[in-house]
Formats: sequence, structure tokens, C-alpha cells
Amino acid sequence: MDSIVCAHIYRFAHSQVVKIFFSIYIIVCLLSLTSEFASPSDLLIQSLIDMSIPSLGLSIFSGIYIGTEFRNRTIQNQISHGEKRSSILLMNFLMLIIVFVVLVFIYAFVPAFLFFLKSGNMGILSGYEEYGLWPQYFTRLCIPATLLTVARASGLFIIPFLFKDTVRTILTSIMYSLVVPMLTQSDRFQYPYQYYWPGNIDISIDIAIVAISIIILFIAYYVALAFFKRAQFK
Amino acid sequence: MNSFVLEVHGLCKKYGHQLVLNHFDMRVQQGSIYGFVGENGAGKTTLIRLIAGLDFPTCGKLSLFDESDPRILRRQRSRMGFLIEGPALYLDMTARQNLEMICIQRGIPDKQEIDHILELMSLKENSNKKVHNFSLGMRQRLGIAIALLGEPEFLILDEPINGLDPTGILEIRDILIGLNKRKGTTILISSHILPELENMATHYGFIHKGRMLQEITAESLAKKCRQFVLLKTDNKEKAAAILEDELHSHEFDVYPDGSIHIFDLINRSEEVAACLTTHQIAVKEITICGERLENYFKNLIGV
Repeated sequence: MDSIVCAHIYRFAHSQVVKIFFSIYIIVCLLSLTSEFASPSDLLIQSLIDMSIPSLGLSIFSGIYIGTEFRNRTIQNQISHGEKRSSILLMNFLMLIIVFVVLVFIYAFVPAFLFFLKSGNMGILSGYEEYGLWPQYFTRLCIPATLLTVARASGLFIIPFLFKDTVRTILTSIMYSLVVPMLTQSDRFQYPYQYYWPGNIDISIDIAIVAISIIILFIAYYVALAFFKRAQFK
Repeated sequence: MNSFVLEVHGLCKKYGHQLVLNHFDMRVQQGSIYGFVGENGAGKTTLIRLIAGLDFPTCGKLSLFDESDPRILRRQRSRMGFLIEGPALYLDMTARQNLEMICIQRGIPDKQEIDHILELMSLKENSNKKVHNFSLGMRQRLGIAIALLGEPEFLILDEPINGLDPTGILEIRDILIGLNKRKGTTILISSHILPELENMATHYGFIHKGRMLQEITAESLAKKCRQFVLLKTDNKEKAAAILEDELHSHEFDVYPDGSIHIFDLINRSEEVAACLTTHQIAVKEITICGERLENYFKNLIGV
């Protein structure tokens, strides 16, 4: 299993395609800054819950990274060399989650950082910033929001292992990225000042959000495993 | 102790209603070069995919290095090298990076092996070139290089000379024979082009429509395919004596039907006829007979 992790790290460091992808993604995030500046009061948290751009990014990434592995038969090569299918899936699944979190953070923090350079604050909820409630802001808002966004994107982590092909992975993932964000929008993080004004905090709901998000990710992994374990490779 | 690295008994594989492998049996002896021969669509690649764990059999038993338990079978595959339906490569990386990547995946600590393999496969000069710029032949060489990494005990190559030029074919043949001789690597090569196997294989398996038609050693096959002068005369005893005394032939067989098969005068049939006529033996028939491997295979499958 360690060897799969090391191989991913090596590929990230040496693959031209991965470098080009992240460069283009950062440029897209910078371009989206114009619209983010329109409502700067809760810029960071709203970006963390907005999965549209990161999920479109992951759709392209999973197609060119995992889809290409299937098309070029490099994943098949690992199986034929005796690697466990469950290990291969787990490592790729976790890698996709990490990449997605990185994409979400790039999308949220790059505009927030530039906003900070311009205005001297991070564009977070004024109450939190004013009273110095940074730890609460990150633990009660940012972590649950990020986890919920990852859980909403869980279908994207399964799709490449169902289709095992670059083009079909990208197309299906893009359709998912267009439909799912609309159906699963969370007011709790979209309008956080209504729910999270300091002193008006219900911790059980946040714990529930974290727990449900993790359960959704587990279910997604086992669904992918059920398919991948029995998959026939060309 | 069993000396077979691969044993297959009654293996079946069905895709929908199509039976691709039909109670297939096969045994590959340790240290052999096994030529796996069959037409396109005969089921060669399907069998190789089953051996590699890329697909699952519908029924039957498969053992590798004497183990048939699925969990142990998976571990046994780490002792093997595969090239299945063309090379599996990272096209946006260089040849060296591809090999380094495989070393990491397989836990091969010795990076010097990469240089050795690049040298062996004549890829050293192009080792820092991106693979998407490689020709078909160079990709094939790199695919074989990947299969050879980690010194596998059992190498399975599916149509390995696809895309190689004539020099490349000879080079690969020499490399594989060398590996087999020096390190005792067992090699299974599937092909539908028989001449490429003729100077290499020690054993043959002929597959047709998902069934194993025949497994035979190269020695036995050579005997069956050997060319000879077929001679029919009115006096087989006297003709045999003349062959031995006058023409100094030591390799001929006399058959009850009166025919004589001469193996060591294959290019001297006119001389044989003249000599017998001189000794007043009537030659009823003198022709060169025998089969080439291709014809043997064609006869076997009934084409």
C-alpha cells in the first residue's frame, strides 16, 4: 500500500499533465475572483461550500488521471503484478478526496488571500473576525463545510472506477457537477450568519453534519469497491 | 516436487453466451520457453488475462507455482512479468520515469537495474524522451523492459514483437533466450506468427476456438515437421543397402509399404535417383516431403 502512495507522489511530481491541470485551475480560480468580490462579507465560508468549480475541476482531473490509467492499462499492470484491488481502489479514492479538498481550498483561499491583500481582512463573517473567534470559525464553520462539500462530491470519486475510461469519466462527472450542487445546496453554510452568530451555536448539528459526511464517504467507497472487485479489465 | 509454474485444468470463460475458453487445459514447465500458438480470437489473450487476474474464470482451476488459492495466487503474481495486448505506459513521462515509477510500485530498491534494462533494450539514448514521442517499436521495447523489471521468474508476453523491425525481433529473441538460459526464467509467448517462435520455443501449445488442441515439445514437433526424401522403389532392401554403402546415408527409415524416408540427403535427391538407376533399381517415386510449422498448425486445426 505504501508503494502505491509513493507511486502517486512520484507521478504528481513528474507528470506534465498534472502540472498543467493545476496551473489552469489556479488561473480559473483567480478569474472567478471578480464575482466573489461582489459579496465579500462571508467570502471564505461561501467558497468552501460552493462545490461547482472544484467539482468541475475534479471531473477533468479524474478523467485525465484515473481514466488515463485505465486507458493506458497502468492500473491493470498493478493488478497483474499482484497488488490487491482493494488497496489500489482505496489509495486512488483517498487521492481523489485529497485532490478535491486541495481544489476546494485553492478555490476558497486564493480569492480570500487576494481580498486580504486589497482590504486587510479575509472576508470572513464580521462577528467572528471582530471578536477574534478564529478557532470557532475554522472548527465550527470551515471543517464541517469542507466535509459536507466533499461528501456531496462523493459520486465523483466513484465515477472513474465505474467507467474506466477518460472521456466517459469526464462527461459523466461534469453532468454530476452540474446537477448535484443545485440539489444539495446548504443554507446553513450559504447564509451562515443566520445560524452561527457568536453565542447562537448548536454544536450537535455540526457534529451530525461531520458524521453524516463521513458515513456518505464510507458508503461511496464500498459501492466503488463492490464494482471494482468484480470488474473485468480489457 | 511439481515442476510446473502454470497449470490450468478445465478452465472456462463465458462472455454472455459466447464460450471463449472451453474446458481448457495447459501446463507450462519451469525453465521452458512456451510458444502459445493460435489464430486471432482463439482465446490466447483471454487466458493470459485470467492468469494475470484481470478477469475471472467461469469455471475450472488455475495454479501458479503450485498454488491455486485465490489469495495466494495474487501474491504469486508478484513473481511474474506481463506484457498483455501492448505496453502499459505513462505517456506524459519519460522512459526512465516510467521504469522508476514501476520500481516504486513493485518495491524494487535497486535503481541500477533501470540503467541495465535500458541498455539491454537499446533505449538508453532515448531514456529521457517523453513516451508519447516514441515509435510503436520503442513503446513495445519499453513494455518488455517493464515486464523484465525485478527479474521475474515467469514472464508472459502477449504478441511481444508487434511493431518491432526485423533487427528488433532478433534482438528481443536473443534477450529472451539469454534470460531463459542464464537465469532459468520461464517464458510464455503467445503469437499467431509461427516463424517468430520457431527458433526459440522449447514447448508448444496449440489453441483453437478456446480449446487446447495439442501440447508438444519442440523436439517432438521438429521430428514431425522434419523434411525428408520420400523414395519408392521396386526393391527396398537393395535400395537401403545402396543408400548406406554408396551414398553414406545414416538417417533413413524403411517402411512396410516399401517407402523409404531419407533425412540426411535432402538436397541430393537427384544424386539418389541417379545412383539407384545405375544399380538397376527402378525408382517409382522420389519427392521431398515434410511440413513446416505453419502447415502443421493448419492441419491440426483442419484448415
